Amino acid sequence: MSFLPEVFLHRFFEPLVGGGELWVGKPLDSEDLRALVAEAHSPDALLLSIDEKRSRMLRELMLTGGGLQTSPDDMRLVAAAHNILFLSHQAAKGLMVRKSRIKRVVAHAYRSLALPAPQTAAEVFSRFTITAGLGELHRTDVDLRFWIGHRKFVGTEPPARLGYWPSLRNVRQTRDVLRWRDTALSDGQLGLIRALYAASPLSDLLSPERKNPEFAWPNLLPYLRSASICRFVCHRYLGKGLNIVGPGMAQAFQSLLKEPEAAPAANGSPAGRKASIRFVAGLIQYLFACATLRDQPAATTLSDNQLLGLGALFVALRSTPELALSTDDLAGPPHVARYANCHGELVEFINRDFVEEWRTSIVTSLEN
Amino acid sequence: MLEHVAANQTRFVIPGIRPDARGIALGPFCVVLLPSIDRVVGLFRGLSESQSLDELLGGLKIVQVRTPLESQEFLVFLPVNNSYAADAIDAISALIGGVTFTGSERHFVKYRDSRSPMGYDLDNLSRTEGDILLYAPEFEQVYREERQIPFAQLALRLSVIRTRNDELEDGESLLLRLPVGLWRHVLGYLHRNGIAAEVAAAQPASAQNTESRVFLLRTRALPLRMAQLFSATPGIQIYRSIVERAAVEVGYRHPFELTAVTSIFDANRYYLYGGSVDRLEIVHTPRFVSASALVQVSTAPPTHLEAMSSVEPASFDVPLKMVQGGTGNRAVARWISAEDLPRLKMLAHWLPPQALAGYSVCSTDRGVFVYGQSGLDYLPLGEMFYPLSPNVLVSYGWELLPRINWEVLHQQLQVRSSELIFFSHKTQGALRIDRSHFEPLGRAAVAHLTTESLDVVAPTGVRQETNKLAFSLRNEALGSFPLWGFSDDEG
Repeated sequence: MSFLPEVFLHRFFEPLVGGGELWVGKPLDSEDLRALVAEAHSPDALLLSIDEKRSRMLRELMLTGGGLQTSPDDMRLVAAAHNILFLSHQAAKGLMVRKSRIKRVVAHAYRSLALPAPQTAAEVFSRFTITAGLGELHRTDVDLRFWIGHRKFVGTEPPARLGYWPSLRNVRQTRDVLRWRDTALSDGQLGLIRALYAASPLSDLLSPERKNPEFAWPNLLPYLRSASICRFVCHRYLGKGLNIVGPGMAQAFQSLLKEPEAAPAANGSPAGRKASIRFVAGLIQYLFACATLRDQPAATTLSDNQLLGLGALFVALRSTPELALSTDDLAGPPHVARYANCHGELVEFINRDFVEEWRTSIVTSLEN
Repeated sequence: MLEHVAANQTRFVIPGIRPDARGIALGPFCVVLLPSIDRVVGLFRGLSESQSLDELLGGLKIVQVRTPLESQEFLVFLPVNNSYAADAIDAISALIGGVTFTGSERHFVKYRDSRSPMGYDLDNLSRTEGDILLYAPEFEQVYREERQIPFAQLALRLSVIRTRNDELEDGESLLLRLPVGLWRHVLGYLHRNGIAAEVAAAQPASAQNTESRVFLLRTRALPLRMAQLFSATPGIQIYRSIVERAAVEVGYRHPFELTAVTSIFDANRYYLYGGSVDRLEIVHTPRFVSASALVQVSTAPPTHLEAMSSVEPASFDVPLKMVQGGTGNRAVARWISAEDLPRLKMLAHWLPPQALAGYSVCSTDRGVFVYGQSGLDYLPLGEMFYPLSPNVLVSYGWELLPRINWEVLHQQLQVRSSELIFFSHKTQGALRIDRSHFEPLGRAAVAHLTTESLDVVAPTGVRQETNKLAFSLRNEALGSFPLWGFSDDEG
C-alpha cells in the first residue's frame, strides 16, 4: 500500500507528541519523506492540531513562547525517529531481510538526521517537543508458550488462534512491559540515537543515567550556557533525583577530565577546557545546593549508594578552592547550614580514597 | 490482459485512444479513481494549485460509482488533449492515493507508468455489463454509475480552513461585513480619519426581505491599527477579496485555489466565505457607493420640539382574567403540592442525569416549584405551566385575557428579569418567585452525606508508572518483506 502522510501523522507523529499508541510500520524512504515535507508546506487540520499540542508543550517548557510550526527539518526528525524504531521491529530481523538493505535504511536515517544544529533555546525546545516521547516509550512483548513450542511477539499482540483451547494446549502467556531505550539496540541504532541527540540536544541532556550511548558533556555545554535551558535541565535532574542522574554525570565529568581534547571546538585552548570543567563543577555543586533547599535532612535525600560517585566528586570539588561554590550564593543562613551539614555527612559517609582520587584528577587536569 | 504500448504504435483496441505528439497512448479523458470524497477534494486542491481548472470545467465530471460488490468509489473525469496535462494529473492523483486511467466512453485503461512508459492497451475488450470498465495491470473492474456530483456544488459546499501566517498588513484593501446597527458608525469613523471607503447593502440571493441585508464596506489602504480594531470588534468580519466575485475571511482559505475556479461563481452574485461562522453567504452583486456621499455632516443647530400639553386619559381599567384555552407551548414548570412531595422524592431516584442537572427546584410554603427551561418530560406530577414570555408562566390549558403583548404585561407587573411569575388557575393572583431561589434538582434532592477520609499511600510511584505507559510502542504486521519497495535515493 502506498504511503499516506495523514495516516503516518495520525498513527505516529500525533502520539509521539501527545502520548498514546505509536504504530511503527515500514521504514520511510526518500519518496515518503518528500510527501511528508510537502505536508509540512501545506498543513492540514491534523498537522495544525499537532502543532498546537507542540506549542502548548513548548509554552509549558519555556514558560514563554508562541506558536510552533512543523518545518521540513522537523519532518525529517520524525521520519528518522520512526526508522530508528523500525530497526527494533521483529520484521527487520527476519530471515528474508538482507543486512545490506538494513544498512540502506540506517544510511537513509543518517541523511535525514543531518540537520543544522539548533541555534537558539527556542529551537532546542522546539525539537525536544518531538523527541521527548522517545525516552518514555514502552513496548509490551508477549511470550506465548503452548504444547508444542513457543513464540515471541515483540510490540504486537499474538493472533487469537494461538490462544484457543488454553487448557488442552497448555497455553501460557507472559507479558513484559519494557522501556524501549532499555531494550537491546543494534550498533546501527546506537549510532543513529547519537545523531538524533545531536539534532535534539535537550533529549541528550535529560538522560544522563542512560547506559547507551554514553552521556558526554563536551557537545552539550554550549546549550547549557542558555539560562532557560540550564534552568530546565536542573529542574528535571532534581525531579529525577541526584541518585538517579548522579552516576552518569560523574562518569561524564571523569571523561571530561581525562580527555581534554574532547572539550568544545570553540574552546580548544587550555583556558577553554578549564572553563568547561569549572562550568560542570559549578553545575554539580549548584544541584547539591538546590537539593539541600528541602527541609528533610540531607542524609535521607542524598545518602544513597548510587550517589557515591557524584557525592565523592562533590566533596572533592568543595575542597578544591579554585572550583568550590561560594556560600554567598546560597539562600540565607538556614540554607548555608543545611548545605554544610550535607557536606559534613557525605565526608563522613564516603571513603576518603575516592575523594582523593577525584581531587588528584581535577588538580592534574587543571594544571595541564 | 493489458499490453504495453510500443513506440510508434498507431492502432489500439481501446476505443478513443490515439498516440499524442510524444507517441503516448491517450484518450480524450483522464479518469482518476478515488476511494472517498475527501480524496476528490484533495485532487482538486492539488490541481487548482498548479493550473487553472476553468478550462477543464466544461468536460469535467465527478461520478459516484459502485462496484458489483456494492462498495462505493468516485471517478473524476478530466478532459485532456496532451500527455503533459495527463502527467500532471497523474502526479497529483498518485500523491493522494488515486489511480489514473485514460480512454473514452465506457472503457478506460491505466495511464502510463514506469513499467510501460508509452501507456497500456488491451488484447480484447471485456464484454462484462456495466457503465464504466477500468483496466489496470493488477485488476479489471466494472462500475455502475450511481450519481453525478456537480463540481460547483462540491466547491461551494466546502468549508474554508484556518491558515497560519495570514495576518493583516498595513495599508491593505479589505472588505468589512458589518452588522446593521454598526455600519453608519464605522463609515463615520473612517470618514473622520480620512480613509476612502465604499459601502453597499447587498441583498442575500436566497432571502426576499430587506431586513436580512448584508452591509459591506470596501476600503483601500486600511491602516493596520484600524484593521486590528475591526477584527477585535464583535459582529464585524474582515474579508479579503480573492477573485472578482468572491472574498474569504482573513485568517482562512478555501481548500481550492479560487483564482483557478472563477467560472463556478455566478456573474450576478457575490460570494462571502466566512471562517469564524463557517458559512458561505451568497448575495446579489453589491453596488458600492462612496462613503463620502452617505456620511451625514450637519452644522445646523438641533431642532427644538415644541412642548405639547398632555391630557389625562380617561381611565378604563380592564381586569386580567384566566380562561380555558388551548396552547401549543411546551410545559417548562410544575407546581407540586405537599401531598405529591413523597412521590417526587421517589421519582428522583429514577431520573436520568440530564434531568437532575437541567431541572431546578424551589420549595415554598405552598408546595414545590420545578422549572426546566428545555421542558420537564420526565416529571408526571403537579400542575403544568407553559411560558407566555421568558418570565411569565401560565397554567397549561389556560390563557390570559385580554391578549396583551407580554412586554406590556411585564411593565404592568413590574417583572424583573431575575423573577418568574406564575399564573395558576387555582389562585386568584399571580405568584412571584425569584430565580435565585431555584437550585438544581440534583443538588436539592440529595440528603446530607457523610464521607470518611482515607490516607493515601505512595501515590507517586503509581502516577509515574501511568505516565510511562502513556507512550506505548506498537509494531504493525509487516510480513516477511518489510523493505520491499524501499528507495533511498535523495534525488
